[in-house]
Amino acid sequence: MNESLNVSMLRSLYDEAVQVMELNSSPAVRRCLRIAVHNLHWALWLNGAEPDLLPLEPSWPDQWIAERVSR
Amino acid sequence: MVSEDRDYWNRYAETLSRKELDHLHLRRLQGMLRYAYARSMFYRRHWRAAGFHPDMVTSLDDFKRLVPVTDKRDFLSFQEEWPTYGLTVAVGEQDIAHHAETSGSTGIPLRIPFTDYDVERYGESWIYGWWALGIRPTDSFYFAFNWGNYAGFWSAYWGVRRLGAKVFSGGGQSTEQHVENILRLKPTVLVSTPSYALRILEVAAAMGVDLAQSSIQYTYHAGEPGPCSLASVREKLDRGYGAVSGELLGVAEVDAIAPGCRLRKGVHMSEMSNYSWSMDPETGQEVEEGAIGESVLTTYVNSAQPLINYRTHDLVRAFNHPVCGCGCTWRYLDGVVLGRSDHMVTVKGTNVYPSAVENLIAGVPGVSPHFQLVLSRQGSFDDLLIQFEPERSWSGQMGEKLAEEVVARIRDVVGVRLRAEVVPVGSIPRTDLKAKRIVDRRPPDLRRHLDKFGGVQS
Repeated sequence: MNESLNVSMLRSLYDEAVQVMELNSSPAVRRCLRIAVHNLHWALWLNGAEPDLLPLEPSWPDQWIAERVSR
Repeated sequence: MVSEDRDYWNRYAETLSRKELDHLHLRRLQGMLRYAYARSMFYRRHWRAAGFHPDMVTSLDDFKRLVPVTDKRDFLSFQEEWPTYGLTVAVGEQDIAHHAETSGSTGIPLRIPFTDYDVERYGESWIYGWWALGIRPTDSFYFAFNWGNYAGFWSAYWGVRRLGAKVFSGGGQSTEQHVENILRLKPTVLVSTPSYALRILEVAAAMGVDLAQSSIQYTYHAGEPGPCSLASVREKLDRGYGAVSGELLGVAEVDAIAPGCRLRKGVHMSEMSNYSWSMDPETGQEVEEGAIGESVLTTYVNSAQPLINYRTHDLVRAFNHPVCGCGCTWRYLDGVVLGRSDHMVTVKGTNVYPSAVENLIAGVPGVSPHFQLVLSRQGSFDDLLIQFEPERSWSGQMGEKLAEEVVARIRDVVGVRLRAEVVPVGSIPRTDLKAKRIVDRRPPDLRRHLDKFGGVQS
């Protein structure tokens, strides 16, 4: 982990940005926060301190793929 | 307030020890394996068929040894069967923010989906190379490029946005207009393929313009062998623009994988966005450090379509402990890409990599950057004819001597006598994308077969 930066502060900012995004109903504000969450996650990644592979859970591959393949 | 680092875009990451980098890679690779297994029908099938499960990886050696390799052909096949992205996609349509494609040499382009987060991270890779060369947020970039669906320079655009510099788009402009725009807008950085940057110089000279006197201080290139691959190209670009040229190695569907090196005799892999190792294309085993092998990549920045242990077919001489001496600790590719493992043709019974021939031709003094290799089929074998334009100062008898020099250079290194032909200056088509170096006149059915299934069909 990068000791020269205060990574724990970065982590707090990230956690709070995720929380605020989930609490906000405005699409415009949520979009701003989504970009902020991405950037904070990447800043943690660049310091070797990312909590997960991705910051936000993406949607799942479309159902039709699963249906076609299961046939 | 801490002052900004002058030397590195990210000193911490770019100077990590090999042990620290490998520790990060293992954790991130394990995360990618779990992610792909959970979300991608393609990987689940591919790995189950090979008896592999992500839990089996507890070291980087396990990763290289146990994870089945993937190939562009796998992706093409599934995309053709289940368009748009087939079984290889790992997110829903709603999360795909950008669609790109490869050029598709036989008319079957690979479709490349990116999420919004992928796009932000993909672009950043470029900045490591720019920063090392001296490019800063105060610079302004001119893109001599007609956008389209190609990921390459879109990612450079995303990179400029992240760097915080200014963008001038040269989309939809003729070469003459590019020259005029450079004089009028006064950008400090030119972004284009290397061959097109040389073409712009040629047109500028015909217009009576010396671009060495222009505002351009840096030129940056991708898409084909450039200033970090070939000293002759570096010298022509540096002299022609009175600037410092740089090169990024990218693989469109993966990432801007290797952003450059300040010393310009190779490029460093971007180890924050991908993991790579070198494989013997015949045996599948890892080759030793410094030996030539095929680069096999795993990207962390394509979550829409994960690429794990992906064969690039680029032959590289890689060093996990860089030998360039620039200070960056990231894996170093000496000479960038030395050839292709999948574009082998058999001429007079000898296996020949056209890309290796390209590199040899580009190094012959007097041969202009405008040359092509014409592939045709004679019975069960391929035939390769080299056509090239001489530099303007060469002509007539001198041109014939140049052809003999090209043939001799290839015979000495590759071991086969090819045919070389001097063609008139200006006769080989120019393009603002990659120069079309290989003109494949073999039957379309054969080419399609090779693209989908690989190998040589007799």
